[in-house]
Amino acid sequence: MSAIGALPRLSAGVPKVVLPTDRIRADAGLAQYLVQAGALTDADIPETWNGVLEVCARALDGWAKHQIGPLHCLSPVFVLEVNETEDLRSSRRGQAAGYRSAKLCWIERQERQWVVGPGLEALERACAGLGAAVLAVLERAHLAYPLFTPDMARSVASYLYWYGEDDEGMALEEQCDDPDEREEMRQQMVTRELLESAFPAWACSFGARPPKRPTLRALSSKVADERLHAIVDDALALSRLHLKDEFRPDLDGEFVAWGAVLSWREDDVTVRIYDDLLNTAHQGEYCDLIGDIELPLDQPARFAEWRAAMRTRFRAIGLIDTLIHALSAGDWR
Amino acid sequence: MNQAEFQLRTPSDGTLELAQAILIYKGRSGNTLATVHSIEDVDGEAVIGAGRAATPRAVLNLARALCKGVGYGGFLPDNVLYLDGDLIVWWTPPSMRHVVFRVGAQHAESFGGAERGEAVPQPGLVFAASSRLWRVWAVKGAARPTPDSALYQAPYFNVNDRGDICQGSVQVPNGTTAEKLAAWNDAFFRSYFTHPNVQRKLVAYRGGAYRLWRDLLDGKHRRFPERALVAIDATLGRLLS
Repeated sequence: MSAIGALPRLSAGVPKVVLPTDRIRADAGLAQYLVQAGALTDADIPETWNGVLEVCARALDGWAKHQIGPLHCLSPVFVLEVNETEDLRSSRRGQAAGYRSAKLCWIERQERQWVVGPGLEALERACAGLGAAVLAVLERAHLAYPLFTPDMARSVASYLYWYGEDDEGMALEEQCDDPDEREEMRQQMVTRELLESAFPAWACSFGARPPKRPTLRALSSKVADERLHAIVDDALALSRLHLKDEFRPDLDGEFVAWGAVLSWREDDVTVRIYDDLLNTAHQGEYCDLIGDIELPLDQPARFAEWRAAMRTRFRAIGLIDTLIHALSAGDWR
Repeated sequence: MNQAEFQLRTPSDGTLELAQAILIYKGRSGNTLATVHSIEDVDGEAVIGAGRAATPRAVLNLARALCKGVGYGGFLPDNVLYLDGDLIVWWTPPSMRHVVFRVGAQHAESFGGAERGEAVPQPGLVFAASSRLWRVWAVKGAARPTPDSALYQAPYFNVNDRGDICQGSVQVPNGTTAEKLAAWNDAFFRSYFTHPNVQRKLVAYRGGAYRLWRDLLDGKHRRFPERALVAIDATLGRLLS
């Protein structure tokens, strides 16, 4: 007899897998909620399946993938997290219960640096004001997917390094007593000069508001190049979407849920500022969610409304992704 | 190609699989030995594998898994600056925070309303709390304060020249441990700010403190204007020495 054969076998009555009855009931309740919200239909149920939650998760995932479509640069992740009720916890002691509420939030799985400067400059060369207009559209689309742009880098530099001023002068005066020390610190820190050398003035506005930029529509007719024209078309489509300021996370602290970092060149100062912002934010409270919404599970209409409201955002995410990809890919010289 | 993802998360695992068995041996005088055994699958049957004595660490890990959610000790967060007895000093970096003002009738019109609340930019702050005191000061910049950092009068209503926070009807947390800091922050920011409480100047801002907070509530500043902070001729180190 082998050694393992001598080991005691558990009675067949001892279950190898345990799934609490109340948990099965709670999962069924969630599935019913999704059905009532229109998020789970007959077509979503496969021929064979192991668990209700697996079916629900597959249906939601398929919907998001279908709505947004394939992406080049962005990787949005939506998370529906159901909350266990007090009753469900106590149900282990024999009381019936279910999930009470859920929180839905979304984030970028892996925010990355995308070098868009050469592409935007090519637009600007083709028609003065066009690069700035496309960049402005991307900036305004922050309601759909927030992007860390050159102008945001300027704003953050002012806050992180310059005590809210437009340059490093006051910060140096506050922190250094003698001129030599001041000069040494100036060499090491992010200065206004460094920022101004990293970005063209039309991409990063210091001081007074930039003059009103010509509209994309007015400029688009002047572009003959097919590649540039496709970018302008996508930017125009993005600018026409009616994005609402809703589902903003109710979290205190610095906002760090950027969808992508748009730098001008590979090694410019944008990523340094971005990293410093993250390091500072992580020392205190911070908001790392692009959007969120509380969903009481007795109100399936709320989830249906969210799904409807997100259609425009999904379209915007697709267009933002296409624009970043087009601006950052290829040779723009 | 990337794709969007939609994840569904539940607070605990739905399915629990049989993984281990514990055998407990007891002597008449109360001595106890526990052995932990893995469960093997042999020809579809669950078999108790060879065991090993349960170490205190293994038992603690099991206890933690069974008591998920019960707090236990750990490292201090970065924002704790100083600990002495029940005194804890901590820092909050500049951030957006929701604050609510309830001002007197004589200021209501110029303030844009008797009660106003918004998420507005706040400066970096240093708080101190113990069983006897609850104080706050402002600091400039976004870097973690050091003993040499200059302190400034916290630009808030209901905070006196020494930095004492008028507690009023605010429920403060019970205890000054690191895990209660968020609750202390909430107690401060969720109180009603009603009136300046200083003998000297609260802020260096044209129009004074009411104007500063009105401008902040109106969204005129994306960051707290640090030039409005009033120096109090103290550093963090001097204050604590």
